[in-house]
Amino acid sequence: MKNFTKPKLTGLLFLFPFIAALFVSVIGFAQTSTLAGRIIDERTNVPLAGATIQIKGSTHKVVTNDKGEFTFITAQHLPLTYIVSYVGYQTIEAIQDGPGLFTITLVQANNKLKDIVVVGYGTQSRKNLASAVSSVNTSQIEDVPAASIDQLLQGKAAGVLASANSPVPGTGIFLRVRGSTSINATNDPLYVVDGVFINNRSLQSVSTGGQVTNPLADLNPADIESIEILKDANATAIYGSRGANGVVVITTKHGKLNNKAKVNIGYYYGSSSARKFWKTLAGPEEGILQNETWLNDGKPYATRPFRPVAEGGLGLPEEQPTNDRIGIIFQDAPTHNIDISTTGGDTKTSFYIGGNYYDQEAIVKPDAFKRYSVRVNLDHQLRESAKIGFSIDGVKTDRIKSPNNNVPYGAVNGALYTPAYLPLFNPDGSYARPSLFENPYAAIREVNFTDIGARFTGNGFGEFTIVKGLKFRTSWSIDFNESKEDNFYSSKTYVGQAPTNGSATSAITRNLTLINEQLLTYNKTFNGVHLLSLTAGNTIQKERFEITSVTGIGFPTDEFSKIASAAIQTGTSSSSDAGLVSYFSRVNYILNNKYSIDINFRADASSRFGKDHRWGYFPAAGVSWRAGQEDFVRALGIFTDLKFRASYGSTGNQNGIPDFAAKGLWSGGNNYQDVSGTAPNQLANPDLRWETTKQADIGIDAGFLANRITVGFDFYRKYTTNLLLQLPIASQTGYNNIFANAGEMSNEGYELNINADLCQYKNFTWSFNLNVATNKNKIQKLPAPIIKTGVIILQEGSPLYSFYLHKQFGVDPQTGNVLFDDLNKDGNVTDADLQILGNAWPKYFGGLTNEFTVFKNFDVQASLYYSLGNDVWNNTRYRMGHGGSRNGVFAMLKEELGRWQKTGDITDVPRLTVAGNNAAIIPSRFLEDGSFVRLRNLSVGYSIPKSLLNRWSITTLRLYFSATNLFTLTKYKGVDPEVNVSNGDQNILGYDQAIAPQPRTLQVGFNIAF
Amino acid sequence: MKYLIIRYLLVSIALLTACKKVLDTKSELYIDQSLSIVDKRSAQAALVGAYNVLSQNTYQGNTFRYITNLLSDNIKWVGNTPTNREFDVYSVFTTNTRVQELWTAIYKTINIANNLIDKVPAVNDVTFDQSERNKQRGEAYFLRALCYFDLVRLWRNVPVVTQPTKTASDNKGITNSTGEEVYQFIENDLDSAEVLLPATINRNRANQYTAKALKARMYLYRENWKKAEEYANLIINDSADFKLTKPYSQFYTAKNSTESIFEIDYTINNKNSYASNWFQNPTTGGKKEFLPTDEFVNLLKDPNIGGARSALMFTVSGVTYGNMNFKIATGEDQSYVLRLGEMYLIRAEAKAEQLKLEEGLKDLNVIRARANIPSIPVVGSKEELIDKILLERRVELGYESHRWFDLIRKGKAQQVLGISDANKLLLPLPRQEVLIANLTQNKGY
Repeated sequence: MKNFTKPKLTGLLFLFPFIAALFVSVIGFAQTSTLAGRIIDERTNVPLAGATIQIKGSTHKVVTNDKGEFTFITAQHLPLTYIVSYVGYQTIEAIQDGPGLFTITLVQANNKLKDIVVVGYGTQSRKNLASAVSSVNTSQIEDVPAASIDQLLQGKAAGVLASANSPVPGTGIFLRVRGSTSINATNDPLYVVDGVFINNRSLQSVSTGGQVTNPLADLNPADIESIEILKDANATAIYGSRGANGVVVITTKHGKLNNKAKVNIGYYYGSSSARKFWKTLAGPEEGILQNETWLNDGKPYATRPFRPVAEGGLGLPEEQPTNDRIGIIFQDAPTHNIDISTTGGDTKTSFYIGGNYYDQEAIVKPDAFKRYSVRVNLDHQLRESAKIGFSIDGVKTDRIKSPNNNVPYGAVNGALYTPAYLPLFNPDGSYARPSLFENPYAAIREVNFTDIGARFTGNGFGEFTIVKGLKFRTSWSIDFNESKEDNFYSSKTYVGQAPTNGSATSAITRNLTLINEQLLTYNKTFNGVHLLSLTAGNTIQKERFEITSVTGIGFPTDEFSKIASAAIQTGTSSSSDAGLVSYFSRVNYILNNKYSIDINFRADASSRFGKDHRWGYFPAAGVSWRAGQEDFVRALGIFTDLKFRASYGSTGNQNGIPDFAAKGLWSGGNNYQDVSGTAPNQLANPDLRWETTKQADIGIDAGFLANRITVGFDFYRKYTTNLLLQLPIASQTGYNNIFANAGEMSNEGYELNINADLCQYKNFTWSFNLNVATNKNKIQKLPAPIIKTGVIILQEGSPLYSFYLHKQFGVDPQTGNVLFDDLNKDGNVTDADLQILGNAWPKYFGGLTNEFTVFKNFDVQASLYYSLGNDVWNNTRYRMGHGGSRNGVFAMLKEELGRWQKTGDITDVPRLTVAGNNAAIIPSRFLEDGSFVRLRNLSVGYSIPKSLLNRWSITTLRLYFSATNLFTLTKYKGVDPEVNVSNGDQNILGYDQAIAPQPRTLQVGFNIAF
Repeated sequence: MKYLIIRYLLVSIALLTACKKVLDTKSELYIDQSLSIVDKRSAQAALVGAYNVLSQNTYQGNTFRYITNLLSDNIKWVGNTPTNREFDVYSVFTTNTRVQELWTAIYKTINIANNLIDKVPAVNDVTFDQSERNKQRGEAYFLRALCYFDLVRLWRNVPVVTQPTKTASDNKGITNSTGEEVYQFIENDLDSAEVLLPATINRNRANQYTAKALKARMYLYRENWKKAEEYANLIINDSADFKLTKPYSQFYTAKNSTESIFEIDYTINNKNSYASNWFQNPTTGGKKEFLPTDEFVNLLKDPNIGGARSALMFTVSGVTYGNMNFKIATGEDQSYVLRLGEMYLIRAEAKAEQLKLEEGLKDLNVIRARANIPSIPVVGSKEELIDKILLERRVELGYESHRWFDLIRKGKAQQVLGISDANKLLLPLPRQEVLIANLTQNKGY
């Protein structure tokens, strides 16, 4: 118990602001005034139900009914200032000086920044926000067919890099907020849905050769009301240990009180296809080139591989057939999505119920993803001072998976790498597997690989007003996630062929997260100019991860696929636990609506660290000054709003490292002769402690022309110390690495975000959003370099994701050999000549979104996503550009036709040969510029005029057409520069290996509301 | 109002006590290292673990055999991963991943052996009697000697670690020993093993015979011919326990034949991936990394040289594959470390070197007779006999990791294999180890 004395005190300290605050509660009003009126849309005159009217300086508010009407009885005297706000509209502030009915018109905030921003454990007004927070406009992402929300963030928020790893729906994507801060702990941001952490640990336990299922695909994008991305330390420090990589705060849709129930139905159908394919050599070309290699290596002409069959050869080159395999695996893949939701509320209870069915097939057979989800959000006002609520999200996902990328028995490998002259079928009609790779037909037809996920997320909370302004909230949640994977490789497959005779695996993986949280908030305005908000709370989190799996080989026939029928059955199970205990608090003070200061503090204890290093303390502060409110700035007549922000603080990281990383462990299961044995597993590191990132941020927010143009600019610098690292140690100790805090890393960059309503005419509006971001990473300290997959290096003084290669100058026109850069001039090309030649992280990245409305009813949206100055290692080309050195196992690409043939040839494709360095040394010519600009989405919608719909009591009916990935501008020679085969290693980016391109999807759909 | 605050405080304090439970997680999958070797049963488990690490794919299961076969002239590389080709063309990069994984696996085995040697004597368990303790330590000494023998043969000047690694700072800073120092250490370990181990036959675990047999080989490598002969004698003369199988192929078609002295055992639950290197679809599965060289195939086919050893190949649709009864599906191929056939050839060579040509030839002819090839009636010189023994070793021990070392021992590797740079007769130390442990890299790398 000794080590708990400190946290206990810490816990009590957090309460001091509240005890102080209790002495300053203000009570009592004598007379009353009445306000009544109606709120309508400025353009369409449609009444707005659910808008909020609040008297400025009080917490008293009412909500409009379904006719847009409200009545407000207040104790305050006229004249009074009131604030009207409604989601998706600009908030207005007005003065009412006399009684009577009045009409308020609200202007749609098309792509305007929202006025209220959801931050950690609360909301703040954007005007006075001292943090760097990006809000994603959900209207911009609703027409994009994507299984998971992380992919929808692509190009939508400055400083957020989102890159799809593969075209398979429901698989992981590479997402970073303001760069990567860690090497072995996680770099993923924290995801918070309605205040509850969402576990994004993939449950996939049976490898498919690279792709990992994405747990965020469990969340239905249509349930989302808003997404905010917290980026700087001031915003994220309240999440302390978990905030170092940024926080994605997701708010789901909730019903509004006094609102007639509304039903929304949305449906779309899409068809996806690949637009670019690999160009491999035809059969005769393979023959010519393989013969050429043979002869170049000085082997006799008489025994060249492609000589007449009569002479014992494979036949002359021109006799070779060309068997297309690539066409076999691709398909035009359909997507269906149905959303049905209803929302509403009476005087005390409000609800949102949303159901979703999503069904998407991959462009490479046979992968598919289906999701069935139901979300119920229920809020009930027990009495004036007490509110309770529940959120339940039940999801089932069905995946059809296949070993698709970096495995020889996968469909893509089989189709791409097998030389074209080789047959698809044996003379007896069975699948031919003449090279190393699976027959693409067998990969598609004879493998049955399913993954059924079930996820239940439940949250219940109670919120009690203790005195005016002081609220206590307690919340309890459970996140249960289970995945059941079953695969069966029949005896006709590469994996299951004789003598294996069928192979099957069945695995259940389960993750249970329990969270309890208490939150105390106090809001108070003093003398109308001092606004004080205090927040304090604690959380306790427990997580358990379990896997049970069984494998069987040897099936009587291919009709049997359950392990009970297998001749040899083996099984295993394992589990792991982690716990996290946290206290946090925040003080937010705003003076005169001009000056704002935030102070955050969080303490976290993690079970993963050494006993004496469990607690981490993460303070942060931010200030902002609304210079635009100062008279001297107003006098300039340029700015509608002008705000300067600055913040500094520290956040931590512990996620991603093993649950018992600090302990010295021996493992069981090290068996010999079926007798169980034990062996050392890892060395203890009792000093293992929190990885800490300090971040400074300076930002400017400016609004021009009545805020029709808003510009946000941020500059940040992050410095991470105590880097959690799987530190390589001398293997002579019997261990190859130890989890240690070793190394330091920095990131710095800027972000620019521009929103503009360029035109606001009655029949034509045009608005756009542009965001640009940079991030410069540097590994400041690292004890020893780490090399990944042979071409990526992590070393002190260089950024993450650096490509480390032998530089190719070209091909010697005299000899046809590759000219390598002999860096140390020792006359040999050795490891000492390796150098950093590129980086996978883009120099600039972001998005450009244009939105138009024409004649009120037509809406058009175009979103570009770009990534500039990044390199991609094209390992597909490298593998296929072997010049004949891979013993005929890998096919060659068409570019090999441009090889050096005779003295004087100028080319960068060397002479075909097995010998020497041409193939033995990995040359830099396969490192390519991976910059691209992509039209991520183009959609055109038409809303049927209200007058036509009224008689059917339909409120809106919108039909739309949408195209995804319509075009991509790039110099990249592979099929898609947006690619990453990381095999789950977060330090690998921009690695292309036999991955199909991102699909082009054409889609039609409708949304109807009544 | 006030009592609400008090209630909140009480709740927080109650939760704090709950926190201890949340933070004190205990692994169900692993045990703390302090509990690793604490009684007889856990010591036995750790010893089994040592055999497990020895048997893994990164060591005897595949990598060791993979590298030594490719380095020899019996096998050529026909795979598709350039890093593996480096062994076939004697141009191994310091970053070669196979080299690194083998190095790591060997030292992992050494570390468990060190743990046992260090901890077993002090274990407080009355049921753990002295003879059992001796046996366990003896096996650990043998395994450690076997590991260092592989290290010294492949890299020569390697660090000698003798103590278990308990914390990250243990065994740091140990640098290269000379090859002679390593051999001396191996000899000491084998002496200890020989004394401690019981003379009971178990062809899958270390015992007194395995220690003696490995000693015979070690003395052969150190050119201590007298002792090599003496130790080979000890095995060959124990005809009750060790007999040459007939036919030749029987030593690998059945497990634990009478010829076997030490073979690493594999089962369906502890398998290795070695077999998949040899074949190609659709014959029997596998990824076809190896084919026997034409020269070796011709030797096997020659009735005066190969004889019954022609079982080491088979031909399907014009392609001749290497074979040793490889079981791809179950991965149960044994790894043959020591067998009687080798002892005869050790003795033959040791005798020849001591100019006992007739006796040496007799041993050679025992092996030839078993392979159904005619005996050699007479040899004219020591050199002639040595050459004949070397050729015999090449075919008799074809895929058992001897050829590369034999050529080096006899100073013939450069000439036979066409290696111009003598430095390439040793593997490079893994680059990462050189950097982290401050080791001296072998010359020429």
